[in-house]
Amino acid sequence: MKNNRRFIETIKYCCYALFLTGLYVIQTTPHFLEISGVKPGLIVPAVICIAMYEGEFAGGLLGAYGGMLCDLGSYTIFGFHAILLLILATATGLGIIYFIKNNRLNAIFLCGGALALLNFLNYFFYFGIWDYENAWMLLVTSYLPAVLCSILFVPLFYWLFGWSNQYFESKVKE
Amino acid sequence: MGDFFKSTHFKILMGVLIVLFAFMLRASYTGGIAPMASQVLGFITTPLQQVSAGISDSLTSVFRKYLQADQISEENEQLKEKIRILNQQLVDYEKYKQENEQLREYLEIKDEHPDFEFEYASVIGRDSTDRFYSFTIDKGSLAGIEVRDPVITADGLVGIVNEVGLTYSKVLTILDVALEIGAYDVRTRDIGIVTGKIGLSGEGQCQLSMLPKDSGAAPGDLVYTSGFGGLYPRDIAIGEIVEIQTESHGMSQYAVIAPAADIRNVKDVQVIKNFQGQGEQVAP
Repeated sequence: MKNNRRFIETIKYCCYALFLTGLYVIQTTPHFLEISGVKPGLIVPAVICIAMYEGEFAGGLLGAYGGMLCDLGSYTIFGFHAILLLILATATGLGIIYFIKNNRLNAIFLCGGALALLNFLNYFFYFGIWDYENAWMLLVTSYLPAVLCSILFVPLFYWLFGWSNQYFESKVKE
Repeated sequence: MGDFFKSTHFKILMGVLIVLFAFMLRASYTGGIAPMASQVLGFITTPLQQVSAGISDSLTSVFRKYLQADQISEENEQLKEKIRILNQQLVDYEKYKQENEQLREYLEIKDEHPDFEFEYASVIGRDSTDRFYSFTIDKGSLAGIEVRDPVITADGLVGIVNEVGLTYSKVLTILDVALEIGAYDVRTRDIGIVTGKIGLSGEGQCQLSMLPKDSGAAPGDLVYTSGFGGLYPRDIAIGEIVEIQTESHGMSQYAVIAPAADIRNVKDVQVIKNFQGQGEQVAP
């Protein structure tokens, strides 16, 4: 029987890239999923969940792609999210292989940590170091609610990518 | 784990990291011009965003219509269908009327400022991470838009173009703390600087600072651009003063301004691609 793993994996990663593009469109659609002025960031939790199932290499590359999408929509310098998400997704993939159990609770912690770190660095480089008046208010009224709102989507993404991983794995013939 | 750092996968990831870092350095060097990777992604995603923004608007409109029809059905079941049709026509009429009025107002601005060269654009994206209601529009360098072009609606100034791709541009609004706009009080002729404030942006307001201590500026006064600095044309409405306060150091006053344009819900804008005095220092 012919080994089709490479073909199936290519299809899978293309699907993931398309899915991330779709999430970017949803994330940037004006007023969509917005509650009291707070919109969730969907790409970061999705990328971390992908890295949990797909490992450090595919996770890292898809992390870089997701980060580039974040950079496209955001007002940070191009590369800011891409570099950070590449590193975070690679670290997540390695962490799952060597140190951490792959379960829903850890997914929430890992995604929460990644979101908190990204948002804090965003705040630090774009507001904190510039000494804007009342800049701390942004952390409380804007960044924190956005992180909490984004974490709500982690169980959904964790389940979705777990299911898709199993689905594509079942199609592999070795 | 040591094996990973010696693997080909690690080398490839490092390669990608270096390329991204190079992109970042280039983006920081070229300012608002989007790097090639961003341009390509933008080229692919802009049409998708146009569609999603359209769907979002339509859904909102359908939802509103449904609620209206539901209310009417309680009052008169027999006329429900007819009222629905009439409502649809009314929505269309209002939409066209609004568009017509908007275009008339733009025409008035054009009449007042014949030197303005406009580009009409629609808002297609708002980033979830932005705190100052910045947005992305569906026109870019292919339409002749450049970094630092002012963006307005018929009501007044909205912001400035911060980054330009081929088919999209990112706009920073006047609520952003990074923007400083030369402005003056139309009644008292006192000049100051309009800038965003973190504490005010949540309420959709900004601040006119550096007003003289003895300024007669008062709530209700209109604030217009002074044209100083050459970034914004003179005499574009910014907003109305809602409150006057003395600065903590006591040397000057500041005013809280309610922007004339509905920045948080703006859907269509005009980019001023060219105006007399653009990029030049203009006396206040």
